[in-house]
Amino acid sequence: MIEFLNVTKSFGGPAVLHDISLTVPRGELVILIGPSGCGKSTLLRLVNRLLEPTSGDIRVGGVSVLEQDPVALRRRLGYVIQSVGLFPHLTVQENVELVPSISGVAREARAARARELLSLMGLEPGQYAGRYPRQLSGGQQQRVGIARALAADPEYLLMDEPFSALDPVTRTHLQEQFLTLKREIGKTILFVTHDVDEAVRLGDRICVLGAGAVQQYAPPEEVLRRPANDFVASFVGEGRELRRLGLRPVRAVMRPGAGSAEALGTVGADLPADQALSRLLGAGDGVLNVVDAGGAVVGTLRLADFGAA
Amino acid sequence: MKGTRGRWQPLLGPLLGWLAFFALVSAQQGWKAALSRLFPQVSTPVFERETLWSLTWQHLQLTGLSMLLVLVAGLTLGVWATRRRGQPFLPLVGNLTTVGQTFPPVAVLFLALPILGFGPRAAILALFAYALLPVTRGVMLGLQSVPADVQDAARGLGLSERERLWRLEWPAALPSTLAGIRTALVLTVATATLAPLVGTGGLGVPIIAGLGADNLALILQGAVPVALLALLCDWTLRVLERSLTPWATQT
Repeated sequence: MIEFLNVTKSFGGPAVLHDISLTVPRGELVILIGPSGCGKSTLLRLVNRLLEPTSGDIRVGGVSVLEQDPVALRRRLGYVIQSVGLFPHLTVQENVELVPSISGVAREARAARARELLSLMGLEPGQYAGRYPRQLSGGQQQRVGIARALAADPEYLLMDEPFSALDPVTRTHLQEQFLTLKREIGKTILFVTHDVDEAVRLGDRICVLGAGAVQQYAPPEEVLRRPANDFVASFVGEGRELRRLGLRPVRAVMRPGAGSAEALGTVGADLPADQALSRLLGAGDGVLNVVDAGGAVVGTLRLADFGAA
Repeated sequence: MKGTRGRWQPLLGPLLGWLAFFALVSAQQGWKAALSRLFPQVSTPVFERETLWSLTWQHLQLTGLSMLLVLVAGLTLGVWATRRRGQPFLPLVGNLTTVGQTFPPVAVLFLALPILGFGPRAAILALFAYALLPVTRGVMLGLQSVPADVQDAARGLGLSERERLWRLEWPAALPSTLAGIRTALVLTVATATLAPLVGTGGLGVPIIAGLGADNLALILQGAVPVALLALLCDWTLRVLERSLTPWATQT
């Protein structure tokens, strides 16, 4: 659990963060989102003491970070940043082993761990372990960055726009991979982004920051359906209903029952509903049969079904 | 990953180069025969008072000693000036080392004479002042070359200041440091030929004697080994750079 208690931060001028109180529950992924300059990265960097609060307190696992040695604290908090920041003179494997090697973990143990993490991140160790960072693509580098952050098995993960610098295809791929990973590792994660789609996709909860204050703190579905105020409504944008559809499977929107003989095609019941809508729009006013994973027809989908959703 | 053997194999070339060089400078009779044939009218085609081998050895000693001092001072200064405590002195260190190099070595030689007297100490001081800049600047540039995001990641992952110096900044500074050392070494090898002006030996001795006596053969006997030595030093360090920093050159 990470708690912010009445945190205010100023860099000499007016406060960048104003009286923020927020709790990141254990095992959840909380998104910090907002326009640039809203203080979301600042808030993240207060947790591992790369910055110090002007007033207020931050507690990690119930203990104030201000009472902990910064170096020891940071070893317990995995850290991933947008520009990755791999050490250029170390191989991929040596980069992943960095923190364990400093902490004095035995060579064989940390090598095994590094290889396991590389495989987990979809990088075949035999192929990539000996490469240098500049021989990797941006997406591969960030995979190594995440593996490096996980190497010492920290309880918490701080991620500052980890996927923002990647091209859309790589980004989506890494997001999917990260969602799977998240379920497997069960860590408490604080994740900064400016991308609403990413927030909705990955977050258990979303904290919308604006003007140095928390504008709304709620699960993605709720932020999209009931924006707390005009700021949140305009930030998540007019496309929010479409995004909300993206959170739900076709199964939740369809009309259950037998298939239609006039169907233009079939659509999977577990596909995100926004993608099914896109197909219907392309097909004109028609009907699709919804099939489950086994291929059996479980219902139909028309444009009209979305009105009720 | 390349094995240790593969990593050091490229150094075999320079090693053979050095052996060939030592063989060449120890062939006193060979030089005499070659230079007499080239300059039949000259009565003393080779330097007679000392063998080429011992002149070369003096030259290497002089170069080695001043480089040793340059390395100790340059590395210390460079690291210190980029630490938080030394930061205010960073421009000063930069300027001082630049001034050291702007002074012509001949001027430093004669300025040092009244203080250090006639002999190797004045020569070493001049060479030291001249070569300090490339090494110090190489270290400073290298240490400062670590990108801000890599520093941020290192800090955020829990590396202490000392761990960042040894595990990140220093290795990252290595290419630039080695390049600085290479420049300094080549400069020193060449500039050490001025040492006889203050009464020290080395390969400059036959050159200056030859200049005085208008004897081209003597000049060549000193100049050719110095040129070869400088090239050899450059080559050796280039190969060493590639072996020590495979990450900077491999694609």
